[in-house]
Parts: sequence; structure tokens; C-alpha cells
Amino acid sequence: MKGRWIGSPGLATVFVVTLGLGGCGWASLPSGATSQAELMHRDWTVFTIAGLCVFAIVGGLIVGAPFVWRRRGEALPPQFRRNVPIEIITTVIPLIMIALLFVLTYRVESVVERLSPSPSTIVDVVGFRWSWRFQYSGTSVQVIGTPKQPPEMVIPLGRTTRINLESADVNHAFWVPGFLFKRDAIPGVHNSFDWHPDHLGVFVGRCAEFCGLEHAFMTFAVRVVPPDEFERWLRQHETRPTAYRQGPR
Amino acid sequence: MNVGLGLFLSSASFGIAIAIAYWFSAHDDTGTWLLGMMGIALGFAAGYMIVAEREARLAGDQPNGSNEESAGERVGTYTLRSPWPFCAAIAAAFVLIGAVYNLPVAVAAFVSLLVTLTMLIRESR
Amino acid sequence: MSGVSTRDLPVPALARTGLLSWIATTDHKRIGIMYMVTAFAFFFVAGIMAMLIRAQLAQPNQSIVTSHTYSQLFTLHGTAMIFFFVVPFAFGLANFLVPLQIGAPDMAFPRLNAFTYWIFLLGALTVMSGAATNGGAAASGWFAYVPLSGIKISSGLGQDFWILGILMASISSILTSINLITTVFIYRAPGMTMWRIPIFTWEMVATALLVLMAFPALTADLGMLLIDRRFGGHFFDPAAGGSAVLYQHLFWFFGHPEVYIMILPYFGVVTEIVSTFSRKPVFGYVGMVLAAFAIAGLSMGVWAHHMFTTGAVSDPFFSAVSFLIAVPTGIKFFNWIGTMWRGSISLTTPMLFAVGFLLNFLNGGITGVMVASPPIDFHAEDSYFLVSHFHYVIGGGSLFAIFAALFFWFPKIFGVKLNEYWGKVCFAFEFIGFNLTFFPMYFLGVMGMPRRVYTYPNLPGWGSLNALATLGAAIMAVGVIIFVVNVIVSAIRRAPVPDDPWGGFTLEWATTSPPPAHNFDRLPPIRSERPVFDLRQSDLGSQRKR
Repeated sequence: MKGRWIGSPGLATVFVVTLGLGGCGWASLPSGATSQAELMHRDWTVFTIAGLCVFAIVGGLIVGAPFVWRRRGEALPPQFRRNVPIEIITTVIPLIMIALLFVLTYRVESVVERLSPSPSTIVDVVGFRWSWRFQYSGTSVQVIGTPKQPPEMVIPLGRTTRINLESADVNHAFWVPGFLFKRDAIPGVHNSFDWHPDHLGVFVGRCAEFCGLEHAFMTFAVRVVPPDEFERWLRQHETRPTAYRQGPR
Repeated sequence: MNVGLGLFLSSASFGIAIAIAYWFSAHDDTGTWLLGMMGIALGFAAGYMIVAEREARLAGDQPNGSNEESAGERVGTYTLRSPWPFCAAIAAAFVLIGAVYNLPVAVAAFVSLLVTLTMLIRESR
Repeated sequence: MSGVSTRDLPVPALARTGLLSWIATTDHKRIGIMYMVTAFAFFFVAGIMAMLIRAQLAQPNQSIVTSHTYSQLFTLHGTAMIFFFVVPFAFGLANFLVPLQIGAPDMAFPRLNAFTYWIFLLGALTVMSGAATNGGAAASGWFAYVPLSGIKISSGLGQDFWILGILMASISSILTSINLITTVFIYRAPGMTMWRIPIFTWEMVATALLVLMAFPALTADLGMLLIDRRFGGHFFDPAAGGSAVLYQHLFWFFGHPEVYIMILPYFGVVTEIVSTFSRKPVFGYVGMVLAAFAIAGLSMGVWAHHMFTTGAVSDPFFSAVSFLIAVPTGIKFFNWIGTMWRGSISLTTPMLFAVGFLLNFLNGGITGVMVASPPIDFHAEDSYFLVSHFHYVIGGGSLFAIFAALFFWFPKIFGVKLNEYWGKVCFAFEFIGFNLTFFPMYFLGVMGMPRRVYTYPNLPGWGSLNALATLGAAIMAVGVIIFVVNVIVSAIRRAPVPDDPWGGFTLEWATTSPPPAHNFDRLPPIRSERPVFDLRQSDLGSQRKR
């Protein structure tokens, strides 16, 4: 029967491929270069595993049922409408699952949002159309970018950096995928968060809130360096400021 | 207690309850007002159903109702077709557009809207 | 039908046939058809925009369209799909079906019904006409966040037209919902108690209630935006004591229920189809109804999960309630599976699309639970992960249910049965094309690609994943073309269609295809939620006795 030829095996194939690729999707997640990011990565892992299990079980039933119980004749199947124990189980088990997921979520978020009482570095970030300005608080060091010359923020490894985020015009979002973290820059809203990097490297950053024609080019970078190199960089730029003026595109 | 009343009453209670829960959880004015107003509005609907529909005995609510029993009852007058909804829509659109760009147009459109409403009322008499 | 008197007005003979008869119609069936045809036209328009977007994104660093054009494309694509396709199609289907399913001769307010269609059409045209203005159409995204949509940056008429058009569409939805609720409460046929109405009708009641609760926030929000833009207001201007976040609160207080408005009718469609083609009653009817209202109610309390990254809202409250919504949704899934369980299932075209819906919505629903967790959302928000999530639920969900509904009810609405073989081919193209388009986007989002970007750099994997997505979109487009050809050829062939071509259960199958103007010549007795099934069984029973 043509329906069965296209239908059940086709659905089953997509189902199985989705399951397999779902795991690959998780594998393309950046591993997270801050201590906060490592926690969030664990959150991703738990949810992905739970999601894949649910997809396997429920999806399997969805794809399997039309095949197992395909129409074989004129006889009507048993016309049942209720099964109270099943209905209770299918309410209670999901409830328990989401309760557990919420507890995990709450715990991780509390840590991620926690502000250290004494961050070693404070950077005031301002988003504007279409780049970023980094002002190292308590110094004269300033980095201003343009779409053609994205600004780079240098921060020390193993120390806490506080970011104070603001917007000069429209909504922007300050996203560092390598840190699994973003925060919106909204006029009138002052956001603050901490990063505790534990990996060296250069991490690209992008604007993640549509802000106009050059939104796609509003990149920046965060370079994590050893603390002594950071001190050197800071002193260097205090005596010789390198602020990129916003130029024509 | 009919289903409609149950619906509005439970929605209204839910609205008030979640507004209270939200206030204590988030201390946010905006959301509390939004949820609370929603609960109150639903409460109005529930109130109407209690006061005005208390005596309603609908044919549809009789589980063993038959067409023969309810035949002959005059339910209302249906106008099979009417040009006035179309005209009212055009008038309404120009009221909105005119309100922003050209006040005389908005006023003229508003007057047309009143005229079409009058025609609609006369139609179903 | 009991107690209805109809008066034919002294309308000029002009308006009895032809175009003018459609302009003056108050027949819920015709209005339903107009809604669905118009909605489908906007589906084409928004679909072409999607193809242009995918063309631009097929490879890194392209400039097939300008950045300004691109901004208008994604703004209008989202706006048209949401406001002028998915929701109006559902209301159109409800307009046609609900009176038939409850045994009524028409909606409670037929002329109001007509008004809502025309104001919807005018609103949609107003929004799109922005493209013809100097500054172009609205280009600040379908949610038009301030300050980007404010007068300083979006100074053109396009943004105003967007606001005005959406206001018109909102009026349409609110009035339709009043009509729907009143109709279902008051005009049920004898024996059609509330606990016997079809699940589709119940879902429409829940949807209508949601519209009434949610749309006022939108109209207020957009009214305030208009005042800020054109009448010197400062509601959303932080420099003058206003708040840009306030716009987001009001918008999402509407916006989240809106996505449930976009899915609940289609839950109803899928329920009817799964039940019919499993040849079993709906499993857990009461649970389905309670779950629909639980979803509707809870959906009013989750709006700020769209604002987790603003730093301006209480994440735990919204995260908790967002997780909670998964429970009634899960109940519905288990009830659909329960309906299929030990059934006698025919994988007809409508059933294929319904099963495709289930799989796609499961996928999107799971990633929805993921982003309900703020620590996950901090990475996924405004990335292609999110774009994939919402397309899975609206595209993989609502769109598939729309196709399912079309194949299922086309014979009833038009008296034309669509070709089954080509329907299944259409399904294959849509299902494979859809998953090929959107599954790669989960990867792209996780790897760091933001949404609404005009182009992207040549990073490893980004180009090939985007190219795959574009290929998938092309495959979907072919599926749509196959569908259109199917409609045209079937309409030309026009084989006569019986009252009940599928073996349906609910009242609409008790009348001719298409129904007469007054809907029913005679109604079967209504003693359960499956009056036509009961009638068929009793007919079979009396045949056997002979």
C-alpha cells in the first residue's frame, strides 16, 4: 500500500536521524571557558540527554503506532476512551521530571548570576550602533571599535572580571558564545555580571539583538591572558591610549 | 452551574491567584497589574454569567434534547447578506489611518462608521 | 433546524451572485473560505520572502539583497506568517467548522463576522503597503522593539503602517473571539452539551479566551508606540522617565499567549484527524479539554521567558511556570498516542501530516523546555537555536496541521477531493524539506550564529549548514507547488464527493459536501461526542437486523 511505503519507514528514518544528530548538536556546543560557563554546559548536557530520551520514547510511540496498528480490515478496534491509571502516570512523571529540571536550573542560575564582592577587574561596556566601547574602570584605558575594526577586551585568567553593560542608543545584546553567555544592553537598564575565565584564548563576541543595518557586523573579541600579561597590557595602554575612532563604513 | 460560568470563574480565580503569586515572587509592578487586571476582567465576565444567564435554559444543554422538541422556537433574525460590514471595515480603517495623518479624514470616516452602524441596526429590525 | 427565521433583504440583484455576493456575504462558510484563501495568499508572500532570506544566507558574505531590504524581509516574513497566515487560517477554519460541528445555522453575529474578515484584510494590506513608501516597510523585526522602532531611528511611514495594520488585525481577532465564544455557548443543537462538542471546537473556545486576555496588551502597547512616534509621547523613552523594558513586558504579555493562539486550534485539528483515522474515540477527552485550558491559563504567566537575558525580570518565576506548561502539553501528547493505541490506523494524507505534526512539535517542544532554563537561554536566546525552536513548533507544528486540515476538510468545504497520491508526495517533500531546513539551525545557534543577521563570516561548518537549510527550503517550496497543482487539477476534475468521504465522527460529516446555505437539512440525534459515528453504527445495526 503506497501510504505505508512512504509513511511509516519515512517517518521512522527522520526520527532516527534526528536522535542521532541531536547528540552531534550537543557536541558542537562550546565547552565554555569560564567557571560559570562550565556550570551552564552541565545544564545543557542534562537537558539534552533528558530531551533525547523523551524524544526517543514519545517519538518512538508516535512513529511506531501507525505501523504496529495499521488498518487490517473492516472490523472496528476496541473503542476505549479512558484509562485513569495511565492518565495519572502521564501527568505525574512529567511533573517530577520538570521539578527536577527546575531545581537544577535554579541552582545553576544562582551561581551564574552571583556577583563577587571584589572583582579584580571592572570593565564598563557600552553598546552603540554598530560597535562596542570598553572602559576599564579606575583607569584611562578605553577601547572603542568599529565594524571594520572590532574591539578586543583583554581580561586576566583565573580572576573575576565584572562587566557593567549599558546601551547608548537601541537594544543590543553582548554575546560571547565561547562563554555560553549573553546579556542585553537596553537603554535605561544597567546590567552587571561576572566572568571567571579558566581557559586562555581569544573568544569572538557578537551582537545578538537586532539593532539595524550593521547588526551582523557588530563583532568584538575577548582575549583571556595570564594575569601578569594583563597587567602589562593595562599599563601599556594607560600610557599610550588606543581608542579607535568610529570611522565611515 | 453551567460550563461557561465555570470557565470564567476558574479563569478569574486563576488570574487573581497568579497575580498574587507573581507579586510575591517578582515584586514587579507591570506584570502584577497585567495579571491582576486580566483576573478582574474575567471576573466581570463571570459576574455577568451569574447575574444575567442564571435562568438560561438552552436546548443545547439538554443531554436528551431532540430537534422536534425545540422546533418552532423563534431564536432570532438572520440577515443573509449585508453590505454594511464591508463599509464599516473601510470606515474603521480610515478612522485609524486618519487619526495619525489627516484628522479631517478620520472625522469623516468616523461619521461614516456611525452611519453604517445605524444601517446595521435598522437592518435587523 | 429549530427556530431560525431568515429574511432576505431587498438587496439589488447584483449582490446575489458574483463578486458582490462575496463582499456582502454574512455566511460563516463563505467568510471562512475568504479567511483561509487570503491567509494562504499571505503564506505565499511570506514564503517567497523566506526563500529570499534563505538565498541571501545560503553562503557567507553574500549581498544578494541590501541590508535594508533584508531587514524588511525578515520583519514582514514574521509578521505575515504570524498575523496574516497562521492565526487567520485558524479563525477561517473555525468560522467554517464550528457552527457545523455544534449543529448551528451560522455564527451568533454573522455581520460582525463579515466585518472581522474585511478589517483583517485591510490591516494586512496596510502593513504590506509600507513597502511602497519612501522609507520602505517596517524593518525592526516582527516584535518592533523600542527604541529601534521609535521615531528617531524608524522615521518612515512603514513602521506606522505596520502598527496601524496590526491594530486592525487585532480588532479582527478580538471580535472573532467574542463571536466564537458566544456561538459555542448559545447555539449548540439539542443534545450537544458542552461535554459533547468536538475537541476542535473546545480548542477554539480556549483560543478565543486567550485572544481576549492577550490582545488588549498588544493594542495598548502599539497604541503607546504610536503616541510616542507621532504624538509626542515618552512612554518608552528612558531619558524622559519612560521605560524601554515596559514595551517588552506589554509585547510579550501578548506575544506568548499569541504562540498558543497559533497552536491550540491546530491541536484541535490533529485531534480530530488522529481520532478519525485511528477509528477510535478521542482518548482522554476530558483531559484534553482541561489541558487546553491549563495551557491557556499558564501561558498568560510566562511572558518574560522571552526576556531572560534583559536582566530586568524574575527568571525563576517565569522559568518555573514555563516548565509547568510542558505537563498539560505532555498530557495531550499521551492522549494522542492513546487515541492511536490499538487502533486501526490508515496513513491517509491528513493522517500523515498529523503524525508529522506530532513528531515536529515534539522536537520543538523539547527545545522549548530547554530554553525555559535561563542558563541554557543565556546562550541560545536570539541565536539560530531559538529560530529553529520556534520554526519547529509553528512551522513543523501549525503549518503541518494546516496542510492536514486542508486535505481533511477540503472535500467538505469545496466538494472537491484532493488527490491522495500527490498529497502523500507533497507530505514527503514538506516533511523532509522542513527538517532539512531547520534541524541544521540548532547546530548553527549552538555554534554562535545570532538571529536576524544579514550575513555571516566564513567559519567552519557555517556555510555548509546554511546551504543545507536553503536546500531544505527549496524542497519545501516544491512541496507547496505540488499542493497547488493538486488543488487546481482536482478542482478541474471535480469528481462528486459524498457527505462523509473519510468515515468522520463529528456533525460536519452529516451534511452535504459542500453544505447548503442553512447547513443542515436534518440533524442526527446527538448523544455523544461522535454523533455521525453513532448514526453510522445504528444504521449498520438496523441493516444487519434486516
